[in-house]
Amino acid sequence: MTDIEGAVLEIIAAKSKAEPGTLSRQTELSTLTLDSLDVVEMIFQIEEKFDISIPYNANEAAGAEMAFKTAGDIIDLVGKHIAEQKGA
Amino acid sequence: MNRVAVTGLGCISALGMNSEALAEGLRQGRCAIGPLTTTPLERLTIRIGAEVANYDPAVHFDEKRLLLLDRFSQFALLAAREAMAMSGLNPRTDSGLRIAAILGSGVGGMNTLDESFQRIYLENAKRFQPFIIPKLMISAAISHITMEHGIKGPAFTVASACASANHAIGVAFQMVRSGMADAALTGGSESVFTPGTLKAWEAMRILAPDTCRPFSRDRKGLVLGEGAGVLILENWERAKARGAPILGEILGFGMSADAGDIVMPSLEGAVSAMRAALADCGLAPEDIEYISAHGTGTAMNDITETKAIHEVFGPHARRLAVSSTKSLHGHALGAAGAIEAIATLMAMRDGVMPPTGNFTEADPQCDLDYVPNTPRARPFGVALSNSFAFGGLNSVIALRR
Repeated sequence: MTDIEGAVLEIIAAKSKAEPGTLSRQTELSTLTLDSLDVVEMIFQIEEKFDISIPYNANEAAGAEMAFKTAGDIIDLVGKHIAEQKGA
Repeated sequence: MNRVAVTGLGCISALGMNSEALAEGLRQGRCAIGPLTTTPLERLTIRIGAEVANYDPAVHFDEKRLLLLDRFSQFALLAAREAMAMSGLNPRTDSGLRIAAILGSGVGGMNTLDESFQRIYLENAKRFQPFIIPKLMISAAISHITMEHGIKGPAFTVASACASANHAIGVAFQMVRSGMADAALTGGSESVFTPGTLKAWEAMRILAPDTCRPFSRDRKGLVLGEGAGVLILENWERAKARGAPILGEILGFGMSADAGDIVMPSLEGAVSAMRAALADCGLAPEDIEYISAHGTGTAMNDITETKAIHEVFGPHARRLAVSSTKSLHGHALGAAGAIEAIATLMAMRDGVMPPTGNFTEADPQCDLDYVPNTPRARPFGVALSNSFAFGGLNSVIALRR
């Protein structure tokens, strides 16, 4: 598990009150207790943690086209933005 | 119970510096959303808003007075000047006139608050200019209005976020209807284009980066606006007796709370408020010809509001017209309800239904007649104006030409 993966899963676990070790890339977000406010807060925490900017627009997500289905979707998006914004 | 006439209107919005400018903008379907110019953009992602552009306070207020006036108070005073002049009321000379003053605002003197925080926390200022408190308080605008016009009746400010002005108009309407007041100055004012406020709005992730497209499939959220709207409400018989201009009538008022989520709207709350407004004036759903929607352009509001209209109006929902003028003048928050009530009254006067601007393609879940893009020349006489605010506070007024 990479650092990014571990950190993102930790944030998701904290927000959804799941046991930290029980989440993985495959975890489907719909199985966790997260509402739309939780998602926005998680994005904020991820941005703070990695000092990146994620262009998440809640209106587009509600349209289900940019919706995150699995934890892996979020991890990949974070990785992409870190690469773009931090040149890592 | 008295009938309540509207005998004066005043408006400051992105569409212009008076109510005629608003009316003309609506008739043209002109979108006044553009690049932000009144605030520094370096730390912001958002680039657009519906500002009151090219506004020079010094043209309207002397230097000494400006020390006391936040931008939101300035807008409120200007709108009140227009409305009072139109009505012809003069509280100072009409000793028998019992007139109230009820204004709505979401956050009041935000520009002053923002500047003051910068001074004390960033610049370590040792002292403040003496009148910061009375300048930033949410009630500042209505206080100044009572002072400028000699209004001595009940006066205060109503706050319910994006429904503030709508609620204020409702309260003022009830005062005149019940006979507690002969007349009431009412409406709302808001101006929050500061870097801090915009950053906070960005954090909610519901601001559109492109424009405001209520009910469109590709809508991306709301666009902030600013301004003020003031209406003079008056006892109908009294207004007629003195030959006042009758610019319309407030028929009824309905309110509800969602008791749901702090930001997500509830279907039940919206339905309840619209039904309450209809019941308050004894109208049937079929009597409504047009609805000025809350229509912010967010994913959730537009769908919820559409469903609520279906539920309240049944088959008639597809016969009436619904449009969101926020697509043209932005979301003026605590002033929205007033600007939109004025927009509706002027649209009824002009016989032109305002369009929902920037409309591309309908969201499949939004299937009503939203008067897309083109203003519609069609006389109409009875309308509802909706405000469904953050925190689930809902307010609906019924208006007649």
